[in-house]
Amino acid sequence: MDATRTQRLPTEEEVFDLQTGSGRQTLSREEQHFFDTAGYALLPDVLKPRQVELARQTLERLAQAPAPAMRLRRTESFELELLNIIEAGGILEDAVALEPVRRYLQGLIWGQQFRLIASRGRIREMRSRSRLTQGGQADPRRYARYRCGPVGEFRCLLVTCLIALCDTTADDGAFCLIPGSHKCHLPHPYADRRLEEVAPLQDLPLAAGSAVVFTDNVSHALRPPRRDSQHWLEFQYGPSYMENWPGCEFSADLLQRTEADPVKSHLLLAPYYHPAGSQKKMD
Amino acid sequence: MTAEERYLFDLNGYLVLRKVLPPPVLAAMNNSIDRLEALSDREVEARNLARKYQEDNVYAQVGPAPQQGLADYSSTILPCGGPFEELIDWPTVLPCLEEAIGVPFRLDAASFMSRHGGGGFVFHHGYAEMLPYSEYAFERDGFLCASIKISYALTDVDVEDGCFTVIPGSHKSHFPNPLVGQVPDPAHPLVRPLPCEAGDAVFFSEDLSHGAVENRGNRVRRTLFYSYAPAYQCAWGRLTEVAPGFESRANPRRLELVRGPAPFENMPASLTAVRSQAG
Repeated sequence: MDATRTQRLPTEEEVFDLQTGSGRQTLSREEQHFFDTAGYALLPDVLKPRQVELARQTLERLAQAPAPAMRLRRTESFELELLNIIEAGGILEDAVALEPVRRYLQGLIWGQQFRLIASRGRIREMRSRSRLTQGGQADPRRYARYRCGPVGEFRCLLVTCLIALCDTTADDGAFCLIPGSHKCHLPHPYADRRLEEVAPLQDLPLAAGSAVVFTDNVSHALRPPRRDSQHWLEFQYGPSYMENWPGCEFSADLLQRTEADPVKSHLLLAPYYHPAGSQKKMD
Repeated sequence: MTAEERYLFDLNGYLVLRKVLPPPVLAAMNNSIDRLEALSDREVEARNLARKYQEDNVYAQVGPAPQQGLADYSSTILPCGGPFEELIDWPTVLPCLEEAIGVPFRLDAASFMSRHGGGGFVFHHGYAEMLPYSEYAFERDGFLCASIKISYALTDVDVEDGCFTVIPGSHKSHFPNPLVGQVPDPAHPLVRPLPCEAGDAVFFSEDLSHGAVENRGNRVRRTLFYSYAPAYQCAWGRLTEVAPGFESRANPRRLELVRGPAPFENMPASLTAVRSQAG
């Protein structure tokens, strides 16, 4: 066999020591195939029951008295959004850096070069409604773009991790999505339909403490809950050069207290293209 | 862009824009750079300019030290103000940027580069590298480029002067560029040097494999690089720092390009609940 035919060319990352780590795949071929096809992954039991309870209590407390650098927003559709919850510390800070989630982030975004873009808590009422996001090529949100190369090189922009703090079912506030819609070339025709009338929607019932990780480019929504206080944690991640979501800028206090934690401090680095010193561009 | 420009940009990954800088602007820029080059590194730093010599740049091939003047270097340039500020929203280029990027965008870098005989710049980038911040894409009848750069020639640059060089079409190639890390050989059948006269510009997708052939002549090549990206991408370090008073004298568009438009504005947040018909 002619060896030159199989010789692997050095990548630009190797030539210039870009240090993205994108060549080190953290997902199995089966996991890669599933995510590329469906647009999401389920991660059971990422939080223990006592952590779930603590997170729920913390959200309730913050809803009454938000931590500094946090913002509350009551939406028109009976939902309380708590923005920048990582600032509250404790379990809400720990939950941004869960190992099963990070394994997916490294596989889906850009090697080790990913960062936290936004952290939210959501407290939903019985009357809460959410609409189906557009998804696919028709989605105007370029920052949610999905991309995967021919041999599994994922380059997702915004990736969301939703952690249920209550048990959810199809008729009780479940997260739902249209599998594969992140690859749709056409806009979905359901803008004026109720969620229950959207045939391809698939419910993903989650037990409290379980998570779903998905590309924000997949069409998705939340079913209405049957109780008046359904709690969620929502963390969004993107490539290292993506800006923070407005209102999710990290405080000096947060940066200081996470400084010694290599995992959290990595997630909270200010936006950058390449790690300092890894490339001789002006930085 | 005209229909032909759109076709050629998609085909090749770049456009050569002729005479975009008129002679008085060119003269003002070159005079300003002449004055800067008479200053020491310390004096330049005091003016908030970052001058970096190319010997530290892994992309650069550096020739022998020149008998006179500075060695090959690059520098921030916006703190010089004047015509360099005006170039941020240059009217003949702005419409092309709007069309190529397709969403609200920002200036993410602006720099000046000076290169003598013996200097060159190795090939880098290409679609197959899957660099997310430089992606070239075209969907639904529109360009979706994640990074557009414009190389403005401040001096005449022929092939022997080490002109900007590309591999046309490499912004769509699914295979790694075997020439990555090499100074472009103008004789290679895939390699296309792009000679320019002073005032011309090369408008290109950052996903295009590009570099510069070796400067084998006696002329110093002077080039400005201005780079633009969607608003959700950050700036490249100090490369968008501006001169004092910029905010009070800049027009609204120029100011927005430097500050960056709101990165996620007018776009729905994921899962933001809205009143639906079911509500």
